[in-house]
Amino acid sequence: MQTGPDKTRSVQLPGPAPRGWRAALRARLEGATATLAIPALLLVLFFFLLPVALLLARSILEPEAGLGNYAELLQSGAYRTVLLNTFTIASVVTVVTVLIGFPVAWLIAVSNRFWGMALLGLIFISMWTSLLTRSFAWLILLQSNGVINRMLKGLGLISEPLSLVNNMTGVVIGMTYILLPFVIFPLLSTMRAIEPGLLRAAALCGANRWQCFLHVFLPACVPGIAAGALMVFVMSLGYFITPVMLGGSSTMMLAELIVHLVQSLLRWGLGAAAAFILFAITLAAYALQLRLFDPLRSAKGGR
Amino acid sequence: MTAWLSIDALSKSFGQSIAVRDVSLEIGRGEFVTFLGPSGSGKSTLLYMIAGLETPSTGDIRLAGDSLLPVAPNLRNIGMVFQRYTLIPHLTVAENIAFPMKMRKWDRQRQKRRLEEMLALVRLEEFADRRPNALSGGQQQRVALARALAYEPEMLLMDEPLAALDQSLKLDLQREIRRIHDSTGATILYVTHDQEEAMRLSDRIAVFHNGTVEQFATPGEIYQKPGSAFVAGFVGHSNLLPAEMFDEAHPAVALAGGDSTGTPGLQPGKGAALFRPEDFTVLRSDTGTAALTAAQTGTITGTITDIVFLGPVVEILVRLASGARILVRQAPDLTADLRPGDQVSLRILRQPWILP
Ligand SMILES: Nc1ncnc2c1ncn2[C@@H]1O[C@H](COP(=O)(O)OP(=O)(O)O)[C@@H](O)[C@H]1O
Ligand SMILES: [Mg+2]
Repeated sequence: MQTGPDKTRSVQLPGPAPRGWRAALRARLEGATATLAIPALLLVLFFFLLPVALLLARSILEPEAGLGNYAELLQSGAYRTVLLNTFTIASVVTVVTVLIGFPVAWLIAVSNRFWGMALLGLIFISMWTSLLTRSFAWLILLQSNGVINRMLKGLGLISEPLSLVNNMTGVVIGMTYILLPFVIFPLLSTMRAIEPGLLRAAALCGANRWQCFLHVFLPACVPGIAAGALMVFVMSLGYFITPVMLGGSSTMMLAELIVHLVQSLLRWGLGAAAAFILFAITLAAYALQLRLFDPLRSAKGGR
Repeated sequence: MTAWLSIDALSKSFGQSIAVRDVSLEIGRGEFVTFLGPSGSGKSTLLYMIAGLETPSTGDIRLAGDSLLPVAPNLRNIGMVFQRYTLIPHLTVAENIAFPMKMRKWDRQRQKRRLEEMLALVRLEEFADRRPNALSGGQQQRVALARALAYEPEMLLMDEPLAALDQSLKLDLQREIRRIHDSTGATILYVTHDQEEAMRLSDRIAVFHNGTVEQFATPGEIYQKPGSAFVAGFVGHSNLLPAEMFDEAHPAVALAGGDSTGTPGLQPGKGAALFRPEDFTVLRSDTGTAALTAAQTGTITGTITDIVFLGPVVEILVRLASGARILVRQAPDLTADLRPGDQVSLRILRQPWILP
């Protein structure tokens, strides 16, 4: 790997290094990129792959070797309900956050600097508040003699208090509120990257406002929607505090079940199997997104 | 040519700054008109007002007698090509070209026929199913051109469509745009800051300066009879010498500072005479200048200060006795024996244009 320019440079170097220590060092570094990656690989191995392997091992080895834990989780009605709850709540929360997050992101994107910053500030302040505090606040707002029910009653819209908490409604409301920023931020950056000239050009092609939105703006936002939705979906799957506080016994989600299995029932193998299922669903969701919205693939064009 | 598009005392200000001031132009149907001027002179703003993307502060725009101002941009029946690529990224080339026809709800058969015509017009048949980001810049601009022309708009507006392309591609596309103009008969308003491009393409050129139109005329007139010193300087190189017109019918000039053309009895010092670099023949003073003495009008003498070889021509910078500098372009073989420092005579080949 000794090239011409390196040789000439090494001649001008002072000191007893006649064959060009720089070139030699560079050659060694180039051959050693794999070696240089070792610390990072070790870190990933130690903090990520190892725990996952242990988890998997535990789920198939405790209390005895085999797939018994998985069979129990998928066959028992109670556990199946928990899996279904987890999936349903995560899906509903994802859809609702996108439906609310899209217009909010759009509002921030089109507002002037002052209002844009003000809206973003509100979102940040709520994000910096403790999760526990926010879930608790929703509990107070939503309970049957809480602010919302009393207001609706005062307005004469309802006669009996609505049950807004300790059920799926409460969980969805609380989680939607908490996860909203995770769909707003990617959407906002996608919207800000859309060339304004694109919409002007579409208008000159004869598209009215609605057609511009439908045929140009919305499709351009799809990558942002996908990124935000995946984030919210994956985070919802493993959510713990909010479902515990705002949900009821019939809305138990997977994370709560795992805690219950490990802490109360001491069934480590079953807990590990449940955790591994959660992990597998998350990976599957990520793989699906890569397949549909792979940035490298779409850059190559064609269909 | 009778006016089809009338721009009438149009102005546009952004807060304190005035982008377009009191512009009036009459443009005929089927004409290729270029807005030429330096960056920031208001060309795009005027084009955007015609497209409906900017609202004029005062004035009116009329098409075939009716004001365009109350018409929304998407109903103006105008095609536009921008400098930056504005193809819809998630649609294929064919879908992009068909987009305006789809928006106008043309029936499928008609869309299909027209799409094929357009793909053939811009020679992109093989690329119909590609996405825009799989095309080169020049191909993208050709798609944009096809999309702008697809629904047979009354007018095609282009805002520096070739500015981002490299030189050889630019020439190809200029030829293509001109061919499309000739074969479709479309009225084209074209914005550029490139004088050569303007010359090559246009039927008429409007030269912009600080938001106003300095001159609106054919390329030949703009070059040979510029209406102002700005136009003379912006289009081609100009050698301006202080001068005075001798006689309206025979506009011989006397030049200031002793650089007389030899015509006796003239008072120099008023007005400005425009000489283009190709308006002279350079002769060494020691060879045959005897033949070019006072009796012969149309000679200026000076000293060569610089010679630059450019291939097809050689540029020679000559300093006159008055201190004025004149740039002359000559064929290389006529200048082989010239050196900086040589005394030369410049024989004037045609009467200079006297700037009003
Ligand atoms: N949206 C705008 N807001 C404020 N000033 C503008 C805007 N658009 C153009 N201008 C100003 O108007 C002048 C003319 O701009 P433009 O028409 O784009 O010039 P050109 O196309 O000839 O380069 C410039 O000084 C520019 O800064
Ligand atoms: Mg411009």
